[in-house]
Amino acid sequence: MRRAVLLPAMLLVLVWLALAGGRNWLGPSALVQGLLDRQDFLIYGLRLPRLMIAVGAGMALGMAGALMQGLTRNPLATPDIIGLTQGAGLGFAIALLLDLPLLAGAACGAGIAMLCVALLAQGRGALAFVLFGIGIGATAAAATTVLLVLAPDAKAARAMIWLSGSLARADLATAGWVWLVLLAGGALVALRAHRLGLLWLGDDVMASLGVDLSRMRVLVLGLVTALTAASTLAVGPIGFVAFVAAPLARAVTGAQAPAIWHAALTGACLLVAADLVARLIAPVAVFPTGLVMGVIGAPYLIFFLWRDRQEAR
Amino acid sequence: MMTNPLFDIENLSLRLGGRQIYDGFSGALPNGGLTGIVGPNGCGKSTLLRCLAGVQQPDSGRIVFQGYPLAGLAAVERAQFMAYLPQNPPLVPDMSVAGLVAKGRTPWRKAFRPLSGTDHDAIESALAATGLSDLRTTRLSALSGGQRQRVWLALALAQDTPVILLDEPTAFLDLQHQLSLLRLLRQLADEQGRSIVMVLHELTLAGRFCDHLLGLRDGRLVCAGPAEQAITPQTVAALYDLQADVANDPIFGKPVVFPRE
Repeated sequence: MRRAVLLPAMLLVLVWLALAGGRNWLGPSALVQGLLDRQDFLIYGLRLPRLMIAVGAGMALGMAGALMQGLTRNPLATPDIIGLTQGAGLGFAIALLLDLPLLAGAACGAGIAMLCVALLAQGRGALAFVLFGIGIGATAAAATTVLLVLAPDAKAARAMIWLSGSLARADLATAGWVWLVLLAGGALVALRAHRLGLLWLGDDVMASLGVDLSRMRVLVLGLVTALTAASTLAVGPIGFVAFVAAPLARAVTGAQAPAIWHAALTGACLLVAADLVARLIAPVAVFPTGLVMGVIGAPYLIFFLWRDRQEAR
Repeated sequence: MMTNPLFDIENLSLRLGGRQIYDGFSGALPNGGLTGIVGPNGCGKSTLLRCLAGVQQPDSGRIVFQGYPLAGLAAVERAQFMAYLPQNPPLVPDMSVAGLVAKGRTPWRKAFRPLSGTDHDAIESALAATGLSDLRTTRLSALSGGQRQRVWLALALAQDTPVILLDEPTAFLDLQHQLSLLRLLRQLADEQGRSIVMVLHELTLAGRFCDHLLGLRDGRLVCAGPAEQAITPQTVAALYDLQADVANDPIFGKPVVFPRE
């Protein structure tokens, strides 16, 4: 039980740091004053939207990662690795060039990528899911690059910043979209919590415990697609949050897999922390948060692959 | 013909991975007691159990479960009537024994509710029956293979179903643990009136513990009935192409197979 409060407490501390920290550090009294004054630009114009997006997108990515890893019984099968994020990125870039709604673009991109991977890998097992996903992701990333090379400069520049995973353009409207999808997804996860607790046990055991497998797959893949699309729209294709969140949450709290809520909180902590670091490294320049996550996440991926050969899960 | 069978299998046909597993398989399993399914490797024992559990859909034919077509039951209803344990339980991320066993309660749970008193009782008695009460907080990674096998059995018991389907529950166990597991299943059938259907490899153990045996070969039913009828030199030859004598065990009075090759 003691460990259960660890993640929320950590997130609270990080939230406080994110609001207080930056180029101008705010003391506790200045922070409270700023929060009470709705006109305060530093809090309400800059830091709060950024924080809301970091928390919302982090939770969405953590959840999506935990769900996907559980469904495929493969820790590698997360949205950022199996091409959903890249698909959302391609959708976003197309929508930006054609002046279409960006959320719809990102959602369609993620949805189409998910559909392609699911259809290609159908009946071939979890590893196929990862391998086809990497292929689809690389294809989408390459297509995005081609589009950007051909695009007019102003739009290409905007897309490049977004593609590197930056929270610098955070606004409350985008934060609202992320939170809407997150709350809807969270409600579904809560409603189906007992069934989702059987993820990782495999198809046969799930079926014998009364899970309708095809409905379960539609539910999980739909949730993952929506959560990935919303978070990618807000923060760009930031990698590794979805991949690291669930295993890290389980290691820290000892929670039982799939640990969806723990993963959500851990994802939020990671993204808020990464964004804080990005702001502290380069207070004036636009330093991409995705780069910070990459610096943390890429070595973890190597560590994970190294360790995974040694212990049976 | 059997009166009130547990499962009535009518004209089952199934093709899997380019192989015709069954071509018009029919048979019946009795209600109550221990029923063993035996036969050589690849004869379709496990697949039959998967079909009975509703985990595998046949191409054609139907299975009637206590008078109701199995295909007409919703997944949750089916899970409230029967528990199924696959041959190789999946590797799962580390968790506590009680945590895994609690998942057996899923078909009975309502959304947003924590484990109820009934749930806790079922988990406790499943842990007690499998001798795992003292290990409830132990993590799976710290258990031996035999203990882990018992945890999966406890999960199936916690499901609290009148019917339990087990695919080679004694695989990977040494003789002593095989016996204690089969004694436990015998006890569950006798004292709690559960119907247990299991795939077994070992003919002598199957003959000693099961009330009823089904012998399969190449997707066809070779023999069926109580051990004395199902295990004879003729059926052993038909099942395994093996010359063997069959004599009764001096202590248990059940048939024992002595291969003559």
